[in-house]
Amino acid sequence: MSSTSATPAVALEASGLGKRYGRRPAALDGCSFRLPTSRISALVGPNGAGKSTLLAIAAGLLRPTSGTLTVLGEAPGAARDRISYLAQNKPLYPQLTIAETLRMGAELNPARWDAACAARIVEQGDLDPKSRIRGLSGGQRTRVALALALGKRPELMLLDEPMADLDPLARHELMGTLMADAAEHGTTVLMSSHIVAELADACDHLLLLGGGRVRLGGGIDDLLAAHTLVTGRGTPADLAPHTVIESRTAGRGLTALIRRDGPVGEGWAAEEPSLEELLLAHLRAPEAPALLTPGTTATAEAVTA
Amino acid sequence: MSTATLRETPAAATVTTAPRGLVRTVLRLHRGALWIWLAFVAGTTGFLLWLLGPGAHTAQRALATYGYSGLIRANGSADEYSSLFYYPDTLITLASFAIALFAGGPLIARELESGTAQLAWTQSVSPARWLTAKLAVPAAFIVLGTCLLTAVYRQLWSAHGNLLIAGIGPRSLYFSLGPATVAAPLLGLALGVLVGLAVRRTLPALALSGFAYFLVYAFRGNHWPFQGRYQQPELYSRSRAFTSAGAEIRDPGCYDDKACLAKHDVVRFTREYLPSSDYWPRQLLETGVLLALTAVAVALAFALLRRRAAAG
Repeated sequence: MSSTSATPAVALEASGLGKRYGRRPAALDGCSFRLPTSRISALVGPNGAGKSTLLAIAAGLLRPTSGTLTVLGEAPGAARDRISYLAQNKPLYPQLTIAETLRMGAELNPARWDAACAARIVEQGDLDPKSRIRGLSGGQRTRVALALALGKRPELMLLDEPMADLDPLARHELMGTLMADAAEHGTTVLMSSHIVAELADACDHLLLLGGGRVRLGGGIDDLLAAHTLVTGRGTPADLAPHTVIESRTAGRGLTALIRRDGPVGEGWAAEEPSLEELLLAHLRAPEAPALLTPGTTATAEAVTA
Repeated sequence: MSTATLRETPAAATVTTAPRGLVRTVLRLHRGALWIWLAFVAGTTGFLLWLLGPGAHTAQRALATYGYSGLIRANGSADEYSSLFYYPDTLITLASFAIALFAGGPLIARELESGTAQLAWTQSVSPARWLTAKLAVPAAFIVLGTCLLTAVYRQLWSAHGNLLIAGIGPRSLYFSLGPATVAAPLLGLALGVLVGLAVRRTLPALALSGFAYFLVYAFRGNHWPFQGRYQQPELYSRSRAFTSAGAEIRDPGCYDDKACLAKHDVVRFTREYLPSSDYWPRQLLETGVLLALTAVAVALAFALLRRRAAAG
């Protein structure tokens, strides 16, 4: 085995990754992180933060302008038989039937295709395999696209807003299918989404993109544990040496999300923030310093596993 | 580690079985275009065969009875053999345009625009292999179809070229039928694919690939080394009259004067075009230039694709 694949526990490793479209501001700019395998990772960020760009580069569809990205220990594109990618608009061939679409999956992935798995996902949605993609609703198309993605038996799934156009019931059910499948096969999943509730239920890992780089990265539990929501009398300056991510005056007091450095001082009521509170605070405060947990940092010394 | 070793075997199988699956997928995606092409080839072949058989009877009778003057007398009527003879050539030219449009629009740009190309590239198929299949499958059908049409057309020429009114018509048809008839639609395909990859949107790609092929078409008509530029040499024809005794004499120039024909005892005429020594040099030069341009367009298309995506 070559030296690049000597760290099989890493699904994605970005180093100084940058992508610029024409003269517009860079979509990704010096983005560095690691994503360990077998994690279900959420990819979060404001619109235009570079989420789709990052996923497309990882899928081997775009060339980065600078920096490198390794996917399952290989260059993007070299591992395309081991990854699944679901684009935001769920492209499928409208002129094919569902059955023909799945047959295409079998023909284009001859070494890995799991026809039973793909057919099961389609059946769960009460879809007639003989109906054409052209006539399907958005949610039904998502289901077929997901069947195509899971039928490939990928080691890494890159999902760009996978559930955006599904009704709550179908979303819950498909998410369940996806998660059960990922857990059973140890698949790594990186999925972008705006629906925090969906992420909190499904994901155990988080990458928050902002300004073209990773602002928060790590296990969700670790990230939550590193932050505290404090309420009390005082000013943000009183909270030193902690890093104040965001603070708001509430009545006569102050509510702040802090990144703890030591125990929280007297006079402050402390509680662990919810994922939503953590995300919103970081989205509102783009200048807050980045935090990547050791397993997520793209440095040589972190590669000890 | 065990997963890594397990993975080695299927990876080897991918190489051998994926191309067949990819070809089947390309065929399935473009079966509409495939049926249209097959219908065009079948219809045009049928028309050529009709011209070769029953369609030629009237003109043949006129030639046998009155010689070349019999053909001239029929000149100008709507169903005149001499004008029907050129229709398949027009159809083949139109088909070449249609191929360029198809390649630019539905074959490439529509897929890039709707994202289905990216869907294919994230299966176990690299963009380079995808483009190879997108070029090779239509090219195979184009070559087979146009080879068949050209062969039947050449057959028709050698059987009934003598029934055409002399002039620029037979000359340019004679010099245009051959390997270049097969190479021109291939250039249309390559240009369309290149435009489709460069533009990536269906409608502009349709317009631009049509325009690009029009430039080729116009250039072929007006510039060296293509047939439109040089003065095609006069095709030498040999007309003969036969007496009732079977003797071969010079055409007495009687036109449809029956008394004159009776006086010279002429019962039958024949006429044929003689092969030109210019044919092969011109055809091969033109074919070579067209194929070279095709190769350049294909190379540019792959370079463009590689620059855009991780083609791996």
